Amino acid sequence: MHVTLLHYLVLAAVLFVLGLVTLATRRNAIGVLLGIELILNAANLNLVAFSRHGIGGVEGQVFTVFVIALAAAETVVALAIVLAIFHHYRTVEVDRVSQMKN
Amino acid sequence: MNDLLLCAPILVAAGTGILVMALDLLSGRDDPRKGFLGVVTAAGLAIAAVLAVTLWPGAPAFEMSFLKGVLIVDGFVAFFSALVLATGAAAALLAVDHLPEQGIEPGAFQTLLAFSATGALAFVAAADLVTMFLGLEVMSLAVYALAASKRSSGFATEAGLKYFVLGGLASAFLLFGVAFLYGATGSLDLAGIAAGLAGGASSAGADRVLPQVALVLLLVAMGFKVAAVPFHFWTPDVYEGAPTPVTAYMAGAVKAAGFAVLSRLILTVYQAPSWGGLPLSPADALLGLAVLTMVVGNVLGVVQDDVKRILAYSSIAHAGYLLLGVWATDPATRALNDGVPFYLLAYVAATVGAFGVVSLLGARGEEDMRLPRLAGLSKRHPVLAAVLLVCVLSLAGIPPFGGFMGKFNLFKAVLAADPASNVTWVVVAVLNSLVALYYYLRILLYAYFREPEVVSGDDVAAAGHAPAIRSAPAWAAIGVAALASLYLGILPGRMMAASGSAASAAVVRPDLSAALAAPAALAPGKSSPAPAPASPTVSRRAAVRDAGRDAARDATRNDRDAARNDRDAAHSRSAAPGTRPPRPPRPSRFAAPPAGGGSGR
Repeated sequence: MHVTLLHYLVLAAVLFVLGLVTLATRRNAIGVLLGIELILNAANLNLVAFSRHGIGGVEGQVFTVFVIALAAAETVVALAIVLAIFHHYRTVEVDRVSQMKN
Repeated sequence: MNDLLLCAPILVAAGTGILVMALDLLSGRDDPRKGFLGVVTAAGLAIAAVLAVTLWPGAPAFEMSFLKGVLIVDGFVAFFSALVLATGAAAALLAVDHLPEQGIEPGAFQTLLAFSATGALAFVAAADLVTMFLGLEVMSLAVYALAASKRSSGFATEAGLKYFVLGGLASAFLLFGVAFLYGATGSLDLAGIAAGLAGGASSAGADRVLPQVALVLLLVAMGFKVAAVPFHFWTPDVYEGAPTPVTAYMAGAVKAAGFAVLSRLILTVYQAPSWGGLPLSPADALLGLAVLTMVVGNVLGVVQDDVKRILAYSSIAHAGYLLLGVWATDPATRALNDGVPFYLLAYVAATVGAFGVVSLLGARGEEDMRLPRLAGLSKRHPVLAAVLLVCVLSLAGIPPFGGFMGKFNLFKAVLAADPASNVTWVVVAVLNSLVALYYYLRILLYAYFREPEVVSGDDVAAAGHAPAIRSAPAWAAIGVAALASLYLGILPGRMMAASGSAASAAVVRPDLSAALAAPAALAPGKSSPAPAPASPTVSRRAAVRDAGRDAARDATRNDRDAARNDRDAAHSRSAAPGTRPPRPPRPSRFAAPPAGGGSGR
């Protein structure tokens, strides 16, 4: 089967939706983090696919490398926050981390 | 060398971060007074702001050779950079004596603040989407950590987690939208995308799917960043839970940077008034967001009992007025409404002042900022109460203060954009301001007319006597904020002029006239002179893209000379009567040259 741009776009859209579902349903902070990573990687896949099969040049792939580095940095900050949360609440379930009144 | 000089504000801001980090290490671990780090941070950011204001407005785009497609420096960027840097400096000063009281490590805090300001500068000054995304992440990552920096507090860590999750989601949405824009136009720089979309707008409907999806994703992402309804729900919790100097920074600098990029991105990519020919036009979406944000922000603000939460909803409501301003583009130039930068300036000054007062009331780790704690403030701390009065009245839009001039100019400009139909929305906005008056005056009621309740036992401290921090740097910061609010209200002329010139530079103009008048003639750079009949759309898009890039590139590049000569010749040929290729529909979009000297930018 010949793999076209559309295939990549559909795959990226599926990843995007999976990421959103993960974000919405996971109660564990690490799971939420995974959902964000999934969305970022869906976007990465789009960038690379457009760069390879679309009308773009190589910029899309360069951008992807930047995004991968940024995602790593983001994970570091997130894990630090999750650690602080755990120190205080002894849990990483996001719905139990709530002291504020609404 | 030129590039380095023009980057100086960004380099100074980054250097401040590095310097503060080094000074923190050198000054010893248990030094009780590390307040000087905050003063150093504030000084560094202030120097960067001065550099931005002096270097950037006069710098024409072609002066940069190496960073040409990476950064734009102009009056718009200078205005918002100075605003961001000044807010960062104020937050650093507010933090000097706040941090020891709250048990927060000052070295890391001030370093992160400086780096966040650096990221915000790159975010605002970005000429392409890679730089924009990098800047956004550098700014946001530092603020996530800052929001959670009070590690002993459940509130602060909760705020950090919430801000991270929703901010990370917003960044991911932004990236997804950027990927679609890249797919639609094959370009990552703003001018190139604008040129590509303008070329594609005239062709078949399938070409509009990617820009349309991208628009929705970009608006969601930027809506999160500027706290627009329905993407606002993190705002009250995060503003309440974060250390108050950080809240001041988020409400001031992050929101200002967000609005700068929102308006530049949307107005540039989907050039008004055609808006890229999308079914759901950016104008409708912006108007919907604006009205929703105003109404929801103000209505929910009424029922709050915590000063920080009230100010959070106030900042949401102000985002609504600002979105209305972004929506109503200037009718003559189709540039940003010239009331928007001034409004942001007045809003930021007042918000920083108000949060500054709140931060000074948080001695000894106090986090509870419910309204009754303000009772009797005018007797205990008359100066703090006066600053609060000025800033809150400015936020409410009461005449002698900056907020009034901001609202007046903004609504006037919105009306001027389309006097007949915009009057409804201006009336809605004014009615909203009246609703907002209720919660603003409630703050002042407690500060001036309520006596602390007499409560027995341990609750004495909690009931009224909110202990104030004695801090000269913080007093300087809130004093400047209050004086700025007064100055903007009484003598707005100078800043109005700056706002006008900033707004006129907001939209990056792609050089479309050549690309659309002679699509065939642009091709020799990459392919045969005539577009291949099999794929006219693609080659025209490619041609338009090349044109956008050419316009944005250094005029002395040797390898382009041949192509350019060809194009010039072809262009003059095509200008002769009879040989002109058919123009795409609706040529009037590009017929009017922008008046503000923004052409080719």
